[in-house]
Amino acid sequence: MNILALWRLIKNSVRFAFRAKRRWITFVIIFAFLSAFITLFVGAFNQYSTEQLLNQKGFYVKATDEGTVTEAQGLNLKTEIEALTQVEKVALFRYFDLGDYIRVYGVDPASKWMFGDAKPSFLINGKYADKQGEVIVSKNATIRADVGTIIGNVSSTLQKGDLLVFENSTKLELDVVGEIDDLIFAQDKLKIFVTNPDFDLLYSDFGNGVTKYCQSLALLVFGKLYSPFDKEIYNNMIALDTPGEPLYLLVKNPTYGDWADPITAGPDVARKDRATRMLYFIFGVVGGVLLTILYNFLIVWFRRREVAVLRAMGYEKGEIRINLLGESFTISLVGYIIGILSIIIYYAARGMTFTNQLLAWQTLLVSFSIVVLLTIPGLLLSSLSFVRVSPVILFKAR
Amino acid sequence: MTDAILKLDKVTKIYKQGRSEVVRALDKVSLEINQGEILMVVGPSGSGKTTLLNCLSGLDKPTSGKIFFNTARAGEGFKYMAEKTSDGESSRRSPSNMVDLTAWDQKQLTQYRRHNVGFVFQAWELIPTLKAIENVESSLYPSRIPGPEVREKAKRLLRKVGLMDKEYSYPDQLSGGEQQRVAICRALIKEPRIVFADEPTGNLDSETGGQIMRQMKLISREGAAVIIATHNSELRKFSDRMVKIHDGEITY
Ligand SMILES: Nc1ncnc2c1ncn2[C@@H]1O[C@H](COP(=O)(O)OP(=O)(O)O)[C@@H](O)[C@H]1O
Ligand SMILES: [Mg+2]
Repeated sequence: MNILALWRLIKNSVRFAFRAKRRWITFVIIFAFLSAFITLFVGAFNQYSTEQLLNQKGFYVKATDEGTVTEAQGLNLKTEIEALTQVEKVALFRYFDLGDYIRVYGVDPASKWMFGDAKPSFLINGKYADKQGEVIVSKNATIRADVGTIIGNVSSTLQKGDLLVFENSTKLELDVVGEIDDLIFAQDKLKIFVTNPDFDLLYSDFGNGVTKYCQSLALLVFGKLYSPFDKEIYNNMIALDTPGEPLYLLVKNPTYGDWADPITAGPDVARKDRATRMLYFIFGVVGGVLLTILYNFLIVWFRRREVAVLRAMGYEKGEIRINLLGESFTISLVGYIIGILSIIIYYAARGMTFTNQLLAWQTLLVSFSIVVLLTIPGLLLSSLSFVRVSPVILFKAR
Repeated sequence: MTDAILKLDKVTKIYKQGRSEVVRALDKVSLEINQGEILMVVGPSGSGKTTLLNCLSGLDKPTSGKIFFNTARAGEGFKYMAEKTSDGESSRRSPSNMVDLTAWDQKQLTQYRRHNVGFVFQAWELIPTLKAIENVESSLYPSRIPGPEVREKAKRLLRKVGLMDKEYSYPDQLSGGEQQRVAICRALIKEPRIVFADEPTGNLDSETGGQIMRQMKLISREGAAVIIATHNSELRKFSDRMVKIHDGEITY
């Protein structure tokens, strides 16, 4: 086969692929569903292994006027929870009011996704406060004269790029690195988010002994986030992205109700969880491979007469396969793109913000390999049988 | 050296139906087909015409007998990959270059069809997703001939059969006769040495049928052997030679 012929066959096979409209659209839809399902199945496996994604799932507890959790209470709870063997990670987010106008939040950059009120995905400008000396502010935060000193390109609105200076017994300079569209109540306040060390510095200099509170507490158990707070008191638990189960269904502890022995409850749950994940993965991969091959077989089956004609005309086997490839390839590629877009649109419509994490590149690569790349061996495999069948038989079967 | 491009020697094709029943579709057929002639094979339905063409084109293998192809008359680009068997040696030594194609493998048969054979199928078998002109061109897609040249050739052929305004129609927008003419152009664009036409006037009215036969005549004048299978002996006036086939047996 020469290059000119090869190029012409490939070009035409793609160009002519769109001509069989009904067949093409039908299979594109099938492949879109296939892509979406495989991606979700494989993603279900992957999401448990991607910590960032894990951290985005679950509950956080909102502090209320009646039952605000103090820092001391929160720290106690944190210590107790950390002692449970199943718990992978606990994150506590604190705040205090600096005067009656500024509310300062402490964030742990390593657990930023667990902070249900101020996740990185809520940023509308700039980046997250990842190191000491950095601060992010709530959107459209206006400046009042009694707030420290503000140097730099300062308008009446605090923006990314400004320098926020607090000066009392010591001087603390904070770069405004980002603005966040926060969902926290107390809209009348200027909310600033700093790393925990800066939080402690600010408190020691400006705190004047006011109470530090616990804004939220989240913990990670077998890849799920839970809030351990008692529902009776903190009944405004808000499920963020995905509803999870309360912790007491998973581990039992006499202090917080009818909890089972964490040591015996743990491995069982872990094993079940691992088995489920594996099942999802196998289902996604094996099912995807089989279906891709099956649908390629069907595409070729619809064109078996054409295969017979081309054989009789003296096309070589390789040339016939290239001729078939365009259709399978464009169908699977377009189907894949539509499938992935539908997932994004679906999640966006449900107000979910972590789609970019769910669709981790590893997940996309696996599903792309199955749906699009497997088309080639799948097609070769399925065309084999039709390229072998004698045209004589095919022409007879009208 | 003979003028024959194909020569059949006691070709028999037996189809088994079920466990015991056998159909003798071809029965010891011996026949010579010459360059530049129109040979008409006339016989009723089920007499073995299609089977004969399938065997000659290598789509089907005879149960016994030999079919010789004259490699000296082969089309451009055809390469005969002679095997180093004693059979191959003898056929290469033979002055007439007659090679038994029933001994060829699929690869060699593909080469044979690609460079020598044009097909007009019984049911036309146009590819429904290709426009008329693309159907014609499709014969040359795997060739080295550049695209514009292929298009020019296809246009010229379609014009010759009176389809200049139907070049960009899809097969389902064409009448039976028009489809048939496209199928003929598809067979001819390769400038084949042998053209097989299975019931080319199939269910066409006699006027269109006549047109098509005149087209066939033109091809044969350019040096190709044209073998037409038909049940319609009225068409004999267009042929150079006619053989009758009945229950797989040839009579002259
Ligand atoms: N693939 C096949 N299997 C079994 N019998 C066949 C097959 N092809 C043809 N035949 C039989 O061989 C005979 C000749 O068929 P065919 O060559 O198609 O005749 P024609 O083209 O003259 O109508 C018929 O009896 C037909 O039933
Ligand atoms: Mg027939």
